[in-house]
Amino acid sequence: MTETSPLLEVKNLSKRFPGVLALNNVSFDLRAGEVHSLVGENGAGKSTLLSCINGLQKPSEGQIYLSGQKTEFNNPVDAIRERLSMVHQELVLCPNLTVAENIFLGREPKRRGGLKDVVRLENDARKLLDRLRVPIDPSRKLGLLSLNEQQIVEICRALAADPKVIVFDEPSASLNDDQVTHLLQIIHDLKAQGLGIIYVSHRLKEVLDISDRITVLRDGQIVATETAENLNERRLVSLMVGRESKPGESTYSHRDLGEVVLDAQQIGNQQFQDISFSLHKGEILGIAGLLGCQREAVIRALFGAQKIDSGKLVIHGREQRFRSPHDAIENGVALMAADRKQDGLVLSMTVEDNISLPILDRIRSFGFLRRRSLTEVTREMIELLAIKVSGFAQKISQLSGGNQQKVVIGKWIARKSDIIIAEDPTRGVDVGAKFEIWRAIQSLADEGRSVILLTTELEEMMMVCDRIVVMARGRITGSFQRDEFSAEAIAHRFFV
Amino acid sequence: MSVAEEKFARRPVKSAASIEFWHRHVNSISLLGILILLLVAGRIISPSFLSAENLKVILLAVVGTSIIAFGMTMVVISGEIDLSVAGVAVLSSVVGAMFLDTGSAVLVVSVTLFVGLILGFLNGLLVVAIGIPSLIATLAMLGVARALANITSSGKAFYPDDIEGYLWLGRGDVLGVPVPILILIVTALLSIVLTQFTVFGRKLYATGGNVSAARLSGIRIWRVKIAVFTICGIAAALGGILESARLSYINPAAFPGMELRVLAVTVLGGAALAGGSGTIVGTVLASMIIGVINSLLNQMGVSIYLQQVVTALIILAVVLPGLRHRQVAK
Repeated sequence: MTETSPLLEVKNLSKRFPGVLALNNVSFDLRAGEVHSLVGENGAGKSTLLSCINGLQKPSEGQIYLSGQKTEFNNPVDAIRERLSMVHQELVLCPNLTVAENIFLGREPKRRGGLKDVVRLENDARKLLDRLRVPIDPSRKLGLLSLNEQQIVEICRALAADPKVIVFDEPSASLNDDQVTHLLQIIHDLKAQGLGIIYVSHRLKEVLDISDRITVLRDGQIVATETAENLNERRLVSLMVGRESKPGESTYSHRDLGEVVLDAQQIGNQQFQDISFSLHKGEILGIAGLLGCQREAVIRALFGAQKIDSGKLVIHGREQRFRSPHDAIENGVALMAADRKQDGLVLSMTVEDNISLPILDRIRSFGFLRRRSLTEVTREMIELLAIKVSGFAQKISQLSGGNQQKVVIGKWIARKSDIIIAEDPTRGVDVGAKFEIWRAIQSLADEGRSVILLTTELEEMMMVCDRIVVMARGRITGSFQRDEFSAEAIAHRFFV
Repeated sequence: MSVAEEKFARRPVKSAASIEFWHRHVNSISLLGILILLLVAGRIISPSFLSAENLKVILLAVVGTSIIAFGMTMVVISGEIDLSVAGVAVLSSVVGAMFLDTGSAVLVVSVTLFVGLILGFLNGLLVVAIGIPSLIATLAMLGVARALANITSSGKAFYPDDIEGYLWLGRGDVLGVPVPILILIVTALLSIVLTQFTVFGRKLYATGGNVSAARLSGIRIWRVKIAVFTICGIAAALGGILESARLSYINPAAFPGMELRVLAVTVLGGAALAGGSGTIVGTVLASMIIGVINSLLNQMGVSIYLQQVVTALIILAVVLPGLRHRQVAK
């Protein structure tokens, strides 16, 4: 294998989903004995590229060459057979089996008659573990190992197929610093053994540390492929985020903020620690962060859907311990959940039914539903948000995604809560509907309600928020007033 | 869009209601069609099939199953299942029978219903508080309740012959209408109102349709589930009373396999075991369909065993196309 013939080559690859171009003419190559990292924001196309490479998805256009041979994998098993393995972010192992059994799952050496050859199994496993220089007993049950050790077993599993290329998809997301150091050492060894390694991570420091080359993806396109020596963290972030974007003034209106309505004082549980911030009347507060920063857990805790183990949550000047979303709603807190099919809507019910759910206690008399009041509220919301329906009793499942999203927002606007937590309110919504949703959220704040906002795109958050706090790995790592907003500065706090 | 808006502006309630009517009742309307077809078939086979007397017989035969099925329908809408109904019916009747000596029908009936309520509530607690899947919790309750019924009665049956008030519930009539049929009508109406016109009904459908969304909308799931299991327990006890009163015989070994007959009626009525769908009207029609089929087969001289096979096949034939429709809708 010479430097000139790459181990893996992706040529002009595109991947189209209905209405979205997830990958646009991407070319990428990997040489033997090289670590080539892929970085980019959430939704930049990293995962799509990886799943096209290992056969989980079929590219719409373009070719993939492995050691100069054109390949078309139908599934990840094909890819493993052709000596391309993947180490996943989430462990896909069986805790009830031994280390050796996990490593060779589905490929166990067998003796004649189909009996399991335990001796050979454990010997082979020991050889792989030795190769990584880790002292793990192959006969131990996997469930007894630490997360870090399990991660190593996962790497051994990838190595068991004797691959030439290994793809690491955010292997460090759940590891602490010492464990990451160990992982990087292992990758370094594998590289020295002549393997080609694709490495994906949000932690730019370790990416710069381990990589020979780094490719930056943005909006499904490659914006740069450079050797690691020519890059630094600052440069990487600005490549990932794109141009320095200015807050759009179109939907933002300056409001005078009132008193504090929600005050989180060092709240924490198993997923996040030491979260403190306050929310003022009329304020739109963004919580920014990457996947895994646990901001979703924080807002669920504020809404009573998750427990708070430590710290104090003060709402309207009174300490609260919500035991369920019901308690939170009674105290004027609303949560517009991002996953509308899972958490937002009852798909088997009608538009009107769904809007009624948070306000059932207000539209009843003697236990009976006041249909007339409900119809009025429904009409009000349909007009306010320009929801396109054929009738109030249309099944919600027949609506388009954008209109379903508007119903989720409408059902909480109807509740008239003072504190509204909006989680990615424009997910999967087209541009026109986006504008209507932002306008509705803006007008909530204008009326003196307070909003906590989570979005996937930082730009959207910068457009509407008065203040943004940044989270990384379950902690707050930064706070920015509107006049300090800068995509680059904020994104830097993602990687602390 | 503008056309739609205009339409709402002019007569909002009516247009919404009429669409809703179709959406919600497609299933019931097709069941009604099947029922009418069966009645016509019966009339062709036997001219006396549609006589008041025969219809009364048909209805009386399904009263117990139907009333219990109302409770079961609510449990199934909430996304759970209750396999303990036969056990609850037997145990509550037997405990009630211990008060036969007092001679008070009111006391016997109240005790029976109260025991049903308690057993249903316990089912709910097992499911909600301890988190046992309802299939297992209620199966355990079925076994325990049946055993307790045998233990408390030493396996002996009771004969409430002396208590007229009790027998009246099974055999009496008001203006020519048998009391059990009146009770069937009243419980059906109550159940329809509860599921379709109250806030509780909305919570019930939301819980079964999407637990997570319902919870995040502020619905206290545990309350809804305890309520439906309790209602189902009361329904089982009431069904037990009516059957026992009709036969004048309170038997600790009664109602074998009742839970499956009730479940069959519920599913035939359009309730999906996944929860979130089903109506009391559907359940009423389904139990009448089963009653008519059994009566038809009786008149044709088909053996009781073969009747069960035919009934099962008909349920499959009716439910299968509906299932496919449901999958497409998803």
